Amino acid sequence: MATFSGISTALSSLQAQRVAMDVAGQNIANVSTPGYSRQRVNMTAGIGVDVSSIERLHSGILGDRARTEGARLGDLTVTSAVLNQIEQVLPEPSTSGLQAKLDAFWSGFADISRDTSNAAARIQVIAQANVLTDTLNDAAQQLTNISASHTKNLTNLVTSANSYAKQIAELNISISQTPEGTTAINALMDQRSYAASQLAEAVGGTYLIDSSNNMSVSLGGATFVGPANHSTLQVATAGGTTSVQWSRNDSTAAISSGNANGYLTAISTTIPAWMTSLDAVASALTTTVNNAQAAGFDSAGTAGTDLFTGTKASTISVALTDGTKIAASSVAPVLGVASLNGSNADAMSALGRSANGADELYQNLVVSLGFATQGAQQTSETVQAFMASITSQIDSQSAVNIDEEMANLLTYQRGYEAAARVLTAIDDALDTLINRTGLVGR
Amino acid sequence: MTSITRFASGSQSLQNMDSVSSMSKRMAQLQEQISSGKAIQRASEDPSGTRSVMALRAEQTRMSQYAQNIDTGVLRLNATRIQVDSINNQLLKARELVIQGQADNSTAGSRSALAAQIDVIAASLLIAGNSDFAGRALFNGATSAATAYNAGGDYIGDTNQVTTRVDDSGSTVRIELNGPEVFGVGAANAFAVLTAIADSLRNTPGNLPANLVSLDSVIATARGAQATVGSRINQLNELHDVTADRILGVTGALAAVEDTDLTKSVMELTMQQTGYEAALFATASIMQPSLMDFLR
Repeated sequence: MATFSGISTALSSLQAQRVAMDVAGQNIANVSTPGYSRQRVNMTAGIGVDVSSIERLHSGILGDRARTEGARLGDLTVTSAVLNQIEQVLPEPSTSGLQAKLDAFWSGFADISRDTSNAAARIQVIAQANVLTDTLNDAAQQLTNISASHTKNLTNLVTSANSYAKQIAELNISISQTPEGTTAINALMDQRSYAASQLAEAVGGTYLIDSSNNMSVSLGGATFVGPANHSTLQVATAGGTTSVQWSRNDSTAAISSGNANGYLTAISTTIPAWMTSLDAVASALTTTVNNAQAAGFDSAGTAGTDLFTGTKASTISVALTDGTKIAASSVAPVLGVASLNGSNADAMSALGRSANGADELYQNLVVSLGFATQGAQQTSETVQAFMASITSQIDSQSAVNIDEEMANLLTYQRGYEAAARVLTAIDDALDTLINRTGLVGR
Repeated sequence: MTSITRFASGSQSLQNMDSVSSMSKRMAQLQEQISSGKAIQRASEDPSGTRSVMALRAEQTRMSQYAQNIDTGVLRLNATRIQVDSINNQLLKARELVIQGQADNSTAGSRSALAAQIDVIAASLLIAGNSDFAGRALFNGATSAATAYNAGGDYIGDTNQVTTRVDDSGSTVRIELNGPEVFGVGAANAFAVLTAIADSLRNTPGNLPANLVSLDSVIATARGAQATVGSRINQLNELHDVTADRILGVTGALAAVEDTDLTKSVMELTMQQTGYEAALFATASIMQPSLMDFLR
C-alpha cells in the first residue's frame, strides 16, 4: 500500500460528499419548480469513492401516462367550459329567460281574447313579440361570439404549441451534446419533459424517446418534432370550416385530443349543433304564430298576416308594428262589420302547449344542454381525479421531499467531516513518521 | 408498506389545497342556494328538475290566465243577468197590463193609458237590449257594432259566440247571450209583440188574447235566458274554485322542485363549514413542520 494513498482516499470522499451536498442543495432549491425531477448521487467504491453518476429519478412510463391523460383532460376541460358558456347564454330556469318571455307572449293573447277591443293588450303583445325576437337574436349572436372567441383561442394555442415543439427540438440537440449522468443533462431532460407535457395538453400526440435519447412527437402518424427539427402548425378557416393544418403542405393535421381538439369540436360541432336547435325554436315560433294569424281576422276584419318573419334565431323579427293587425277573431266580418270574437286570440294563447311548438323545442334544448353540460363536467372531474393520482405517483417518485433532503444533507455533511478527520489522522501519522522518527542521536 | 413510500413536500401541500378548495366550492354553492332561495341555479345542476320548473312556470302563467278568463266571464254574465232579470220583470208587467186591457170593465180610455205604459216598457226594453258591459254591447253577439237593436226593434247583431277558455283541455264557456236568445226571434221578438199589443189596446182589443199567447212565448224565452245565465254563472264559479285549487297545486309543486330546502341546506352548510375548518386546521399543522425546523 502506497504511503500517501490514504490521503487521496480521504480526498475522493471529500469531493464526493461535496458533490452530494451540492445535489441535495439543488433538490431543495427546486422543491417547487414545475417539472423538476429530484436527483440522486450514485457513488461507487474504488480507491476511495467515486461519483459514478448523478441520476434523475424519473419514470418514462408514468410520464407517458401523464401526457396521455393530460391530453384527454385538455380536451375535456375545453369541452366542459364551452358547454358552460352556452348554458349561460340560455339561463334557465329563471324568471328572465326565454321561457318566461314565451309565457308572457302567449299570456298576452289571452288578455286580447278577453277583450278584443282592448288596444293596450294588442300593443303589449307586439312589444312582447319584439322582446322574444330580441332574445333569440341576442342568443344567436352570443353563440357566434363564443365560436369566434374559441377560434382566437385555437390560434393562440397553436402558436404556443409551435413554440413548445421548437423547444423540444432544440433540447434534443442540447441533450445530445451534453455528457450523461450530469446535473446539466438532467436539467435539460426535465425541461424537455415539461415542454412535452405542455405540448400534449395543447394538441395531444404520440411521444417517443429513441435509443440516442432524442424525443420525437407525431400527430396521427405525421412527424411534428424530429431529433433535431420540428414542423409548424397553423389555423386555417375556409368556407366556414376551421381546421389545424401543417404549414409545410397545408394538409389537415390529425388532432384527436388536447385543448386543440376541444376548441375544434366546439367550433365545428358543438356550437353549430346548439345553434341549429335554437333555430328550430325560432322556426317553430314563426310557423305556429303565422299559421294561427292566417286563420283569423284582425280588428278591421281583414284576414290575419304574418306576425314573425325569419326562421333562424339570428334572423327572426317582428313583421307587424300595429296591434290592431293581430287576428284575434276567428269569425269573418258580418255584413262588413268586423267581429269582436276573441276565439282566435284564445287559440293563440294555447300555442305554448302545442306539440313540437317553440316551448317544447326550447325545453328539450335546455334539458339536453343541461345533461350535456353535466356529463362533460362529470367526465372532466373523473379524468381530473385520475390525473391527480398519476401526478401523485410521479411526485412520490420524482418530487422533492425536504425531510429526505435534509437527512441526506446531514449524512453527507457528517461524511465530509469524517473524511476530513481521516485526512487529519493520516496527516498526524505521517507527521509522526516524517518528523519524529529517526531522530535518535540528533 | 403502501405503494407510495415517499411523500413529496410539494405534492402534500397541493393535495391539501385541492381538498380545501373543493370544500370551499361546495360551500359557495350551498350559500348561493340559501341566499337565492332557489335549489337549481343552472340547468346542468338538475336537467330534469329544470324541465319541471319550466313546465310548471308555464302552467302557472296559463292557470292565472284561466282564472282571469273566468273572472271576466263572471263579471260579464252578472251584467247580463241583471239586464235579463229586469227584462223579465218588465215583460211580466206588460203581461199584467194586457190582462187589465182584456178585463170587462176596461174602456177605450183606460186601454189607451195601458198602451202608453206598454210603449214605456218597450222603450225601456230597447235600452236594456242595447245595454253594454265595459263598452261592448251585451246582446249583439260578437259584432263590433255599438248596439244590438235599432230604433225599430230589429236585431242588427250577429249570432257568433263569445267564449272564454277555462282549462288546458281547451274547454270553453260561452259568456254572452245574443238578442234573439233573450228577446225572441224576428217578428216574434219582444219589441214586435209589444208594438202589436200597444196597437191592439188602442185599436183592436179583440186581438189581445192572441197577443197574450205571443207575449207568453216571449216571456218563456226570457225565462230560459235567465236560467241559462244563472247556470253559466254557477258553472264559472265552480271552475273558479277548481282553477284556484290548481294554481295552489302548481305553486306548491314549483316550490317543491325549485325552492331551497332551507333546513337541509343550512344543516349541510354547517357540516361543510365544520369539515372546512377541520381541513384548514389539519393543513396548517401538517404543512408547518419539516425536519428543517428541528435541525439546529
